[in-house]
Amino acid sequence: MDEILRIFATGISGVFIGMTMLYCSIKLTTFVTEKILLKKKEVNP
Amino acid sequence: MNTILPLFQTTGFFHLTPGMILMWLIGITLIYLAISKNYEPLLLLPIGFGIILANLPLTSLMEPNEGLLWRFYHYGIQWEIIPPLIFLGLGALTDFGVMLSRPSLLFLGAGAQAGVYLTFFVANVMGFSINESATIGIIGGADGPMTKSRKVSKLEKIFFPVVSSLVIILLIPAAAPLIAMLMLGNLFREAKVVERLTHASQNELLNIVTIFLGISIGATMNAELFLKWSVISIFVLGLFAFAISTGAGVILAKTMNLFLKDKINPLLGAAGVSAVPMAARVVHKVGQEADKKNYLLMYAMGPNVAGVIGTVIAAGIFLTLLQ
Repeated sequence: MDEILRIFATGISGVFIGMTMLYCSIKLTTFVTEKILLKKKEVNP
Repeated sequence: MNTILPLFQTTGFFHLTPGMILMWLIGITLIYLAISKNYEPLLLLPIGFGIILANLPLTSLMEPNEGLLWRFYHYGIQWEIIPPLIFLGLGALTDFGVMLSRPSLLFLGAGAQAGVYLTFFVANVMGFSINESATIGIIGGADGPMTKSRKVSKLEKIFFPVVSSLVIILLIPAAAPLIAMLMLGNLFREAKVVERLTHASQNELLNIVTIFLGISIGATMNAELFLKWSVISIFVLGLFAFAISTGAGVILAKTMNLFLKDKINPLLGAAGVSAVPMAARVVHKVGQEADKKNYLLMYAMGPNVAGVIGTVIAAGIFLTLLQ
C-alpha cells in the first residue's frame, strides 16, 4: 500500500510540476517573442 | 455421412462457440454505431471488423509469429511504432494557439489527470498488479461566455513545440517518444515550410496507422480472453477514470475562477480529458444545450490539447516509477 500511495502522490504532483514548468516556459516564450517582434517593428516600422 | 462429418469438422462452423457469436454481435454493434450514428467511425469501423475476424475459428490471423493481424499488433503496437506515429499526426493537426493565448488552461489538462491516478489506486485495491493498475488508470487520460483570446504570433507558435519538447523531455525522459513526435508534427504545421510533410502527417500517415491500430486492437478481443470478469472490470474502471477526470477538471476550473480576473467557463475543465477532439465536442454540445449562444468548441480545444500533454506526462511518470 505504501508503494501505491507513493506512486499516487508522485504522479499527481509530477503532473502539476510538469504543467507549471510548461506554463512558465510558455510565459517566457511569449515574453521573448514579443520583445523580438517589437524590436523588428522598431527596425522596420 | 462418414465422409461428410470429418469434412464438416474442418470448417469453422463446427468450432464456433457462443462466446464467439457474442463477440460478433459486439463487433457488429461497433460497426453499426460507426456507420449509423457516426460515433468515431475512423476507429470503431476497423475495431468492429477486427473483433469479428478475431472470433473466426481455425484462422491463424492472430497466431504468434504467423498471423497477419498478429504481425500488425506485434510490430505496430507492442514495438510501440503506431502510438508515436499517431501523435505525429495529432501534432500536425493541432493548433495550440488557444492554449498559448491562455496558458492557465494547461492546469485544466493537469486536473483531468486526477482520474488516471485515482483509478490506478482503485484498480490496485481491486486486486490488479501495480503495472496493470497503471495501464488501466491511463485510460482516463485518453483527452459561459469567455473573454476573447489574444492573438498568438507565428513566432510563438514555432517556438512552442521546441521549448515544450525540451522542458517536458528534460523533466520526464520516459515521455520522450510521444512528446517528441507530437511536437515534431506541430513544428511541421507551424513552420509552414514543409507543407508536404504536414499534409502527409495529417492525412496519409495518420490514416494508414489508424487502419493498423483499429484492426489490431479489434483483433486482440477474442472471446476466450475478452469475456472475463477481469476484462469487464477494466471497462468499468475506464469509465470511472473518465468520470473522475471530467469531474476533477470542472472542479479545478471552478477553483481557478476564484483567483482569475478573466473567468473561464467551468465546463472547459471537462475538456481536459485527452480524448481529442471528442471531449471538446462534448463540452461544446453541453454548453449549447444550456445556452444557444455558447460557442465553446474553440476554447475547449485549449484544455483538450493540454490534456494530451498531461496524459503524456502522467504516462511518462508511470513508466519512470515502474521501470
